[in-house]
Amino acid sequence: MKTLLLFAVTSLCLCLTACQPTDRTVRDAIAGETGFLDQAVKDHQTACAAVPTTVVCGAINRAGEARNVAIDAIEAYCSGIPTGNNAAFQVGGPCAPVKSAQATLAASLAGLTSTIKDLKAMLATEKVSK
Amino acid sequence: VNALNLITLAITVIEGVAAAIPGGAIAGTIASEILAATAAIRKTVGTETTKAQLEGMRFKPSW
Repeated sequence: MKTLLLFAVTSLCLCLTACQPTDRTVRDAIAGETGFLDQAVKDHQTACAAVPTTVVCGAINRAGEARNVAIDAIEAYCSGIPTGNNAAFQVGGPCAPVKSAQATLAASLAGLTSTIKDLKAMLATEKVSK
Repeated sequence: VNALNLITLAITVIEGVAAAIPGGAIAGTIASEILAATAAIRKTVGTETTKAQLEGMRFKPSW
């Protein structure tokens, strides 16, 4: 059942990839990983506050750092020249894509996906052993 | 039925399956993580990407 649900969430991300502009796809992927990661932080808050050097706490921190890198990348991607009368992205305007930043954005998303995948595997193992 | 409706429908189905998982420590915890992920996607899907929205998702270590 667990595998089926993870497959369903992954499929949802693929659907999001096919249906929306790049910035929204990445943003929604980050949002999904944010939800998962925040739940993991919540579940491990007490344990990690007591002993922050455990493997799981380290994995959560790495996933969080990867999330921030992805956010930096999407902000750089969206910081192009605004079209029409739109405000610049940095001051609240819509995303103005910088096509040359797309590869960096894709790499940062791949990094985030990879670290979250590692964390999911670690948490699954942790739950089985409890 | 547009793409956004399909995505919303997919999220609803995933949430329904996650919520229907029988109790038990392993299944229950996995379900809560799935629900947290879909709830976060629900907040953003179909909206414009904004800097404030992205900054709100930044990871701030709490330990």
